[in-house]
This record gives sequence, structure tokens and C-alpha cells, in this order.
Amino acid sequence: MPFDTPIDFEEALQRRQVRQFAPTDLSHAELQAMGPKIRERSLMMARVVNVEFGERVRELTIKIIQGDLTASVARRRLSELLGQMNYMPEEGKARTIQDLRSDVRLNLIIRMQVGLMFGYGQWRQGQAQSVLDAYPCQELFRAYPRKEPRDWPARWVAAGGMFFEGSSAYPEGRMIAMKNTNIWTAISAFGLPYPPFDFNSGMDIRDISREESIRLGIIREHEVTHPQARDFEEDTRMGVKKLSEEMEKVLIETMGEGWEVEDGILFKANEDKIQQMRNSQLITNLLEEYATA
Amino acid sequence: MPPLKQTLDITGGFANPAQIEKDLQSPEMLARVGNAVVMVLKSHFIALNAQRTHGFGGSDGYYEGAARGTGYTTDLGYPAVVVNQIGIALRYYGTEILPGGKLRPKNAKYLSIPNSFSSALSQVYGRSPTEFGNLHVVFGRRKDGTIGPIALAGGEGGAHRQNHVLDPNLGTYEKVGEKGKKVRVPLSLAEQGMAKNVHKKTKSSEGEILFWLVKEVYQAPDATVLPPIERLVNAGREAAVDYIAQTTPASIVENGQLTYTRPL
Repeated sequence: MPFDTPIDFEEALQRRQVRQFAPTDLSHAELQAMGPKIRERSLMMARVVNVEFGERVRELTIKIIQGDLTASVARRRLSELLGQMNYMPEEGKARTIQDLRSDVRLNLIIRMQVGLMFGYGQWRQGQAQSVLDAYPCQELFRAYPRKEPRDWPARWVAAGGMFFEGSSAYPEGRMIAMKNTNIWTAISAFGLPYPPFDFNSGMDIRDISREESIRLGIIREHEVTHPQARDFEEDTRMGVKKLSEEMEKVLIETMGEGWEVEDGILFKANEDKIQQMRNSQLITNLLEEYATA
Repeated sequence: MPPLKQTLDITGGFANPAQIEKDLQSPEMLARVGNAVVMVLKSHFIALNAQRTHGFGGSDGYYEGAARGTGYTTDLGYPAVVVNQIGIALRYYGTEILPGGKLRPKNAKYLSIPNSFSSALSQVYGRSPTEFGNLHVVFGRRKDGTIGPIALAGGEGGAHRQNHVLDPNLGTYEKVGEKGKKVRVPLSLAEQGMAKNVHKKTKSSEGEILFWLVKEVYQAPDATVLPPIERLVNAGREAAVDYIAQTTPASIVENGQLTYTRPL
């Protein structure tokens, strides 16, 4: 599948539709430590281990992105399902963000899943070479107000970003960088190059034209941004250290034919690909260590 | 909902019509035009999200959802922009495009409209009455002069949110009566896990009206939900011309005479 050809929004969203839900009892921090590819492939919600619940989230999310359902109806249906499952939060966690049946948690789950799917759809469409030629850079900006906004300029600087002149909500300046550079995954709490870049984040991106990018000195006149290859169909692996035997069985059943668990590693049975990825990861790690040193 | 369609005629502006015909079929060109229109729409929705807020606080994120859910498709052989957000078309066209010109409930007798004067509006807005455990039906005279249900009010101690509600799809069908008519026998509260429900009191007081019940609603069209069509068309045209201009000469000189200059 080439990645430099235009793709339909619906088709891009369908890519997400084929993802499987991977139940996990890992915390968000632990999930973050895992590779982003599996996060893209799987709908993971920290400390949600019920396969049926995860599958329902997936179904409802797809209906929302297809315009067949509103988020409030989806929240209600998830709440109904939890009622039928006799779900009870841990002691002392009722009505907090850790209470799965609380509005705030259900809204967060739905908003994040829908947001990531749409984010991927828009990112994937922006990978057409004609779009990259016309708009080789993009700007991170506050698009939607939040009660407690994060310090994005600090995160931007920490990721190696630079500020540029022009109208901005931040006194530091505009946060602009070339598309398909590492800074976009570096600022993301999920390691993904598209919004939302964090939970409930109100930040978004907008295209910056070639003329403006050259004027600001971000690219040279004939510099080309190449489409990025992010292969969601690629075989992948996932380390789930806390996976119990029972959960292993459920997980394999959920993921479908061809998936296996070995030494706590969930992978699709295609050893050549896995070895290739391991080597690739090893090289990446070595390069990172070298760069750090 | 009917799509908005606009035709761009740019073929006359270039020297080589055959090349233009070819370029117009190019997926890259369609992507470029689609992306340009999406950018304008997205920017418009972001502005609407900041402008249109609840009476009781900030935005409900409706237009944020529209901005995030905007993309394009080339399925139809031309760039078509899609806004994956329920209600955008209804807001733009109004209920006049619906059969009968009004919005009516599909699977219920009444539409429930949050009472904007309720002290618990922030807890009611965006929710179904089925999410509240102790609402009472208020009867009164309706617009057509008949007497019937007109509102839902809070019960004893004010309305309570319930975390779990009965699933109307659960239960069994059994034949009852002489004619053997099938009737659904729902699962009991305990069977659905309702015994463990936690109720949460809202800010409302007993008897306070939380929802108005109406059989139909008229919504006027709102053209400002989308940017002016000319703006979208111009964005698409500029992107198309920009793209095609790369493959066509800026000017043609024949026999020492300037016979063609690409329009700006």
C-alpha cells in the first residue's frame, strides 16, 4: 500500500475501524512506555480489561465518526452496558475519573477515541504529495478553549521546537515545524503525530503554506516534504507483563486468528516480520542512545 | 440531507485543454482541492466553537467535533468535503427540508427540550430524560388547545441522575391473552444490576421543570453554520489553479507574438 497517494477520509477512518480492542490493566504511564504502533492498532483504555466493554466502545466510536450517533447517546449506552455487567468501581473511587461509569470517564473515553480516529483521518489525507508540496509545515495552536490549559510552549521547547513571529495566543510566538518531523510525535502524550496530543487537549494544527514556510526560514526554496509511511497493517507486537493466563486466552480470542502470546508478548505469528521490527527497534534505540550521549 | 454542489470552470484559463482534462482527473489534484476546502471549513468551525456557547458556561464542543470531523472524499470523482458531525446539515438547512417541515421523534412520542430556565440546566443539557430516575410528567394545555403531557419535572428532593438505566432491548417475549399477543417481559431491576445503582442528586428542586415535551420542533435555517459558499469555491479554485499551473506554461509566444498569458 503506497503512502504518498491521496486517500479518502472515509477510507482513512476505515483503517481505524479494523483495529481490534486490546484489553489491558496497564496504567496510562505503562501504556505510554509501549510502542505507538500498537496503540494505534488497538483501542486501549487504561485499566479497562473487559473485552465486551472495549468492543462496545469500538462499535459506538465507529457509529459516531460515521455520523450515525451522538456522543451523549454513546455515553448512555456504555453506561447501560456497565449496569448490565454489574460494574462497580474500586472502593473510594466512585464518581472519580477512575470510576468507569462516571460521566467524566465515559466522556473522556469517547472523546479520545473519536478524536484519535479523526486525527488520523486528517493526518492521512494530508500525506498526499500535492498537499505536502503546497503546505510543507504546520502550526500547533490553541483551537479550543480549556479550563486548565497545559503549558504547550514548554513542551514544545522540550521537544526541540522553535518559535516564530506572527499572531499567536502565546507570548513565546508561533509553534511551527515541518510536517513529518519527529517533533510532532515528541509533543504527543501518545507518541502519535496528530491531534489530540494529550487527554482532553484543545490544541490543533493548521497548514502553513510553502511561501510562508520559506519566508520564516523553516524550509529552503526547493526543499520537499516527503509523505510519511505509517503502516498500520504491519505485524506488530505488544508487551503485556501483567497478562494473566485467563486474559491471554481472552486476548487471543479477541484479536482473532494468527495472534499468539509468548513470554507476555502478544504478537501476530509472522516471525520474519517480528524479527525485522525487533532489529529496527534495536537500531532506533541505539541511535537514540548515541544522540543522547 | 441534500449536498451543496458547486462547479469550478477553470479549463478556459489554460493554454492546453487536453492537459487540463488529464490534470482534473489526477487524484493529487483532487486531494489538493479537497484539502483547501477542508482548511476553510475547519477554520470556520473553530471560530464558531469560540463564539457559540451555552447560556450557563463555555462551549459544549459541538463545533470542535465538526472541525475535527471534517475531511474530503474523492469517491465521486470530484473532491467532496464531508463533515462527520450529526446535526450540521439540520442547522444549515433548518427543519424545512424534513418531511412536513418539522423535526419529529422517531422512536418516542415526544421530543424533550431542556428547560433553559432550570437551575440544573448544566446537568440536564445533552442528556436524555431516561438518565434521570425520578421525573414526574406535568400535564397542561398544549399549543393546539388539548390537554396532555407538557413537561417533565423533578421528583421528591429534586431530580436524581441514575448511572444505569434499564435496557429496553433486554427481556423475553411471551404470549398473553386470548389472542396470544406477544408482549415483552423486561428483566427485573436486580437482573440488570440496578440494585447496585448509585443515584446522584441534581441541583433541581422538587417540581422544577427540567424538560419541555413537544411533538415537533421547527428550526430556522442558519446559513452562518458554513462559511459563504463563494469562500469555499474560491479556496477550491485557487488550489486547482495552483496545482495545474505547475504543469502548464505561464505564457506562449508564437511567431514572435505573445498568444497566451496565464491569468492570475
